[in-house]
Amino acid sequence: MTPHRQEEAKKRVPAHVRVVVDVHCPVCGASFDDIVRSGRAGCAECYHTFSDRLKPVIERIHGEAVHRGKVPGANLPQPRQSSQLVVKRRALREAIDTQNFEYAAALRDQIKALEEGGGRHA
Amino acid sequence: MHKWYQEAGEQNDVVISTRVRLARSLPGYPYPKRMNAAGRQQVEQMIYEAATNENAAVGHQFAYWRMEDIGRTDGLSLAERRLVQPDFPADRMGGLLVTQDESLSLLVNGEDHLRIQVFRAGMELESAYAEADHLDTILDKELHFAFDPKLGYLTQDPANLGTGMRASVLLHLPALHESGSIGRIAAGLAKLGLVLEEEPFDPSNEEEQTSRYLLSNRLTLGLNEEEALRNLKSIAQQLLVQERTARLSLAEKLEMQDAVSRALGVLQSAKMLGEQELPDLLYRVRLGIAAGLISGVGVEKIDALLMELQPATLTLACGRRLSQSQRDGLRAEVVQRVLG
Repeated sequence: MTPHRQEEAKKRVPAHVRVVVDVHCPVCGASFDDIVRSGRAGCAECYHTFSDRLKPVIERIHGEAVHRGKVPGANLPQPRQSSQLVVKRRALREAIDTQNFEYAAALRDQIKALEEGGGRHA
Repeated sequence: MHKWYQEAGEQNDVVISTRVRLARSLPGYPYPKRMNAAGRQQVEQMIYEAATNENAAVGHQFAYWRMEDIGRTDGLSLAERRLVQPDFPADRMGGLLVTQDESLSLLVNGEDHLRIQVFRAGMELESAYAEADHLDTILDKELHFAFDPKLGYLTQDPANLGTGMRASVLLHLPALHESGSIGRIAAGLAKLGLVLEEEPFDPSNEEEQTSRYLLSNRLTLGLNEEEALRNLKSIAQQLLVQERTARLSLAEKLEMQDAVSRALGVLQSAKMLGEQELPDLLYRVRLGIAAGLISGVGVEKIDALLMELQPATLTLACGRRLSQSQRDGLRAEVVQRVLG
């Protein structure tokens, strides 16, 4: 193909598909190809970087199962975040009861942020 | 120096030993196969500190072996004592932290950044798991093992995702082996996510006939640790009953009694015992003891002999290099001290 035709061809391919070809894990540098060839992940982050493409690989081994076993840190005293959540949820209920809707909206955002940002990342 | 395999374990007429291993990894570091020396050093350092000086909560003293520095005989002996796979010392990349009785060990930078490994004599699944779990929880506070809510613990091999747990019991099943039913039993177990496979004492010896079988769980994602252990224990107990029942008729056969007597005869009178011939002889005697044909010595003495008379381990105990025939002669002496 001439360079001009390559450019034209590229434009017809959706952007998100084009990018997939050269993704490397930001922590260990592995490509999806590396993982498939070796049968091993490059690092824990690979399971996030390549989560979509690893899904069928994992399902072939484990079926559609999800983790139901031990969760790290579950036995330990609850992190302070949890008590923040309890306090904020109570405050939200009160704000709604007293029709303080602006405050309620702000609290709702904070609660959402705590729920999403909390927990373990690999 | 007292070792776990010298204990008289529960149900040890059939169950030789129990093993529980947990696979864990550190976030932010490539897995061992992709890691360079600097990374390996850092991971080793972190795990070492979490398990030793920094952490009184661990409650154990560990000896520390680096595969880069270990001598050849020491490395071979670690593999003989089942603490590491044979290629682990040869690869010169990992480390091993191990308690004095060797029942608890930490494998660093092998198949995963960390594998916690617990051994017990006999059938001890709950207590072995409890020990591994306890250490895992303590180390996790420092090391923050890589974990995903859907995939569980993130391991180098996707086959270990989830609990990262492999629990197994090592069984002596000569009567079931003799009756030819092992194949059928194993096929049935596969559907339950359990594997029953031959586990020779010395895999390099194709002639070995020790009827050792390993029963282990293979499901790590989708069920929790307690469920997996319950299944394993339940099946192990069924196998126990089947083997004991089959042994009753086997013990009445003259051929079997003859095989046991001959084995005992050789062990009691030989001047030299080679490492290849020893397992068959000792396992026949083990059956004889368990079936009540031989008295005066417990099966745990047999298990200890098997471990201690392996070539590198025997050499280390002796404290000096031995020739093949010196080893074989020493082996005969030690066996006769135990079996009379």
